[in-house]
Amino acid sequence: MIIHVDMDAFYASVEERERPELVGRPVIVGGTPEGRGVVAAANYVVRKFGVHSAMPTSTALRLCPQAIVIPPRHAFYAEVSGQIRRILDSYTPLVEPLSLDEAFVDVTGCEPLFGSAVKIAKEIKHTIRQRLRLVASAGVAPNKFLAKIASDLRKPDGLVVVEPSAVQAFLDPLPIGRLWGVGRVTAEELKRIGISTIGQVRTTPLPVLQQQFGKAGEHFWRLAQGIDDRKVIPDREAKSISHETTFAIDLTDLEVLRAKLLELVEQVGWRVRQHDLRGRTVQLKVRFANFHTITRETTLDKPTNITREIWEAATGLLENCGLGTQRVRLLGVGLGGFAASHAVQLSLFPDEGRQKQTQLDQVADLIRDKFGGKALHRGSTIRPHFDRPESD
Amino acid sequence: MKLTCQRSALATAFQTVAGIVPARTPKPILQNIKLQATMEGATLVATDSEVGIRYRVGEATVDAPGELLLPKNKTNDILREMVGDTITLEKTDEVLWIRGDRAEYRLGSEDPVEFPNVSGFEANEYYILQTGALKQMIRRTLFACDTESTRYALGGVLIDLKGDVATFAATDTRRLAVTKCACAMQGKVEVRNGTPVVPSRAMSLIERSLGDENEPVWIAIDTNHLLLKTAVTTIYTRLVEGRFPKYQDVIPRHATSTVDLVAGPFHMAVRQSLIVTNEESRGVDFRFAPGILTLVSQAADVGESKVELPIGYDGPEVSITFDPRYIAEFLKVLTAEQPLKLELTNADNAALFKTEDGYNYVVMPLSRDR
Repeated sequence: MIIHVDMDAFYASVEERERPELVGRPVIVGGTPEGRGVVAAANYVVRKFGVHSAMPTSTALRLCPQAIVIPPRHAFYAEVSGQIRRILDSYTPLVEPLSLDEAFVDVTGCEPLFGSAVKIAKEIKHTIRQRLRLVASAGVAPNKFLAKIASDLRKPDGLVVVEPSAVQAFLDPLPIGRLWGVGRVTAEELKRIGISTIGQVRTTPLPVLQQQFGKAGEHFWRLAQGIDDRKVIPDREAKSISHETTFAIDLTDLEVLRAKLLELVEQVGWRVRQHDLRGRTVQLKVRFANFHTITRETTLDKPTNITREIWEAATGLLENCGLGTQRVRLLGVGLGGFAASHAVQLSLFPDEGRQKQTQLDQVADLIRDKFGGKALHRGSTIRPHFDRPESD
Repeated sequence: MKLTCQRSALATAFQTVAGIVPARTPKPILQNIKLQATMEGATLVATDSEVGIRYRVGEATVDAPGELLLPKNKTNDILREMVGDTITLEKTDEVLWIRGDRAEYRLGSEDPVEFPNVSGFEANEYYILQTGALKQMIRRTLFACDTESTRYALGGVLIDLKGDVATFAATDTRRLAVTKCACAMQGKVEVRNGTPVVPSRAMSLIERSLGDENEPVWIAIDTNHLLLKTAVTTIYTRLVEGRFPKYQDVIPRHATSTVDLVAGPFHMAVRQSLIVTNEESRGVDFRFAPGILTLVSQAADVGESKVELPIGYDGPEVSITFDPRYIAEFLKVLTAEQPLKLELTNADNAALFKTEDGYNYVVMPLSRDR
């Protein structure tokens, strides 16, 4: 069984714990409206006003003018996240963190030691509450996909268990938006062919879905049956580390795509360096508006974890994958082929260029550790028309 | 023109110069080899525009002087398959005839006027090296070149001729080979600024075309080319453009441990340890302890190995990780009984292999952490 542990309003809850006077009042953790900031986290009081994360703070304050805006303290949240991680690690090494505030835990085989998965999930929630005075929701299910839905169903402080025998009964009534990979656009397309619940996806013949959505159609269909074979992979054992993003609006401009790619590469580079890995294979994934998905990869001369080197390889792949004028829906980048040992051939003549790039990454990582992932960007990722529809 | 010569002598000359004929080229004429016949004898000429060679064909009888172009592939096949001792080459109008004992070929032949000129050796002031020493210098350095480097001009061998010492150096930034030999000057050779780097292609052509060990070799270097002459051949090469790193600075001078080794047995142990390495984990741990060297290698999906070798060493234990291929390539160019010294500081610094005749080979180790 898999447990998905998801902290409730994590940043906001940490702030409430540190400053008890905030409890019961609407709290937004995020940037200031003057600085055109966005909501990083919102507590449950302010959520009642319709405020949610990623919303511009100015909009949030229009919805709830009395909300208290607190600047985020990422380094501190990361520290708390580490404490949560240690609680999870005490049950099994099979912990796959998804972000600072959520993780998958594979407790298969832990039963003789710690009791049933449900008992472990209850203990984890209890321990987090006792030791850290924070509230977590948990989902317990036979696979990752179901566990993640389950943890989200009864937030806050939820515990939802999906027994292997009850998968269909659990999934069927849920709206299609719960399917992993179904966003607003796909949901509308599904609704057009008369599908609005996961149960309806399950009973739709597979060829119909494949015709409409290609490979993704099969993916949706399998999920609707409750099938998800993805394993819980601790980062340190990962064969590759990747990030991908689905755009709110399909993109065509190569320059914009390159900049989006750099953002993804920055995240991949950071995670790879966190685990002190070096990889030789750079992978690129592009999904077009028609769901056609291509992957390309290239092998580097030597293993790297330098953002610039990953980026050069990734942009090379992007430029050579024949984008043309096709609209791009999703972009992903990964680094794999990790060197088995950390042995690195030293050079007689220090490579000044490479050394500088390594130092640059180290400084950037320090800044991000201290001020959060969004604290620092490369100039070329900042484009004024990024998240607005392209005018031409 | 017409000439008669020994088939074996022509074949030897032909194969030597054919090494520089480009397989693919925007100038198809370069896929020919030019035969020049004068009353003094016959010479084969080939070039790829960067490197050119003139090679004298032994024991040729010239009946009518002149020039012709031999298409490389067809001529090579004919020389290989033909029987009989003598061979006659003749050009009448635009047609090339190759005649042997019981075979005759008629080939189309392009106009030799179109073939680019390959400079001859015209310098009056030059350096003189001995053929045997030059061959050894090339063998000891050529393997360490890096034809793919973009940072430095490493796609060749640095040739430093000063007074009565010739120094050759080559590096791919991970290891460095430096060797010296005696040389002499003819006339007063002007000391040039900068460091001429000869492309590795030209160096291997030189090595292959050198003959008798005791013959002298003349070398003249100009701003952007080098010319070399022996009794039978003249080679012209452009120099590699770009910067060669300051190699003298990286030769370690303050080693803390010195190990005595003999090339043959050491090479055998390294080859044994090479078996259990792969692309991902190439490192082999070299553990030096009093009286014994242990080579330990581990490769995921392959296995592990441990190889021991008795050595002349009585200092403290030192452990260092090398890419064993770099060590094997160095040992391969030495004779089996060649004694050598290995000077070590620690696991993160360059190691220096030295022979008594002034051959230095510096290798950077693999680092375990960073």
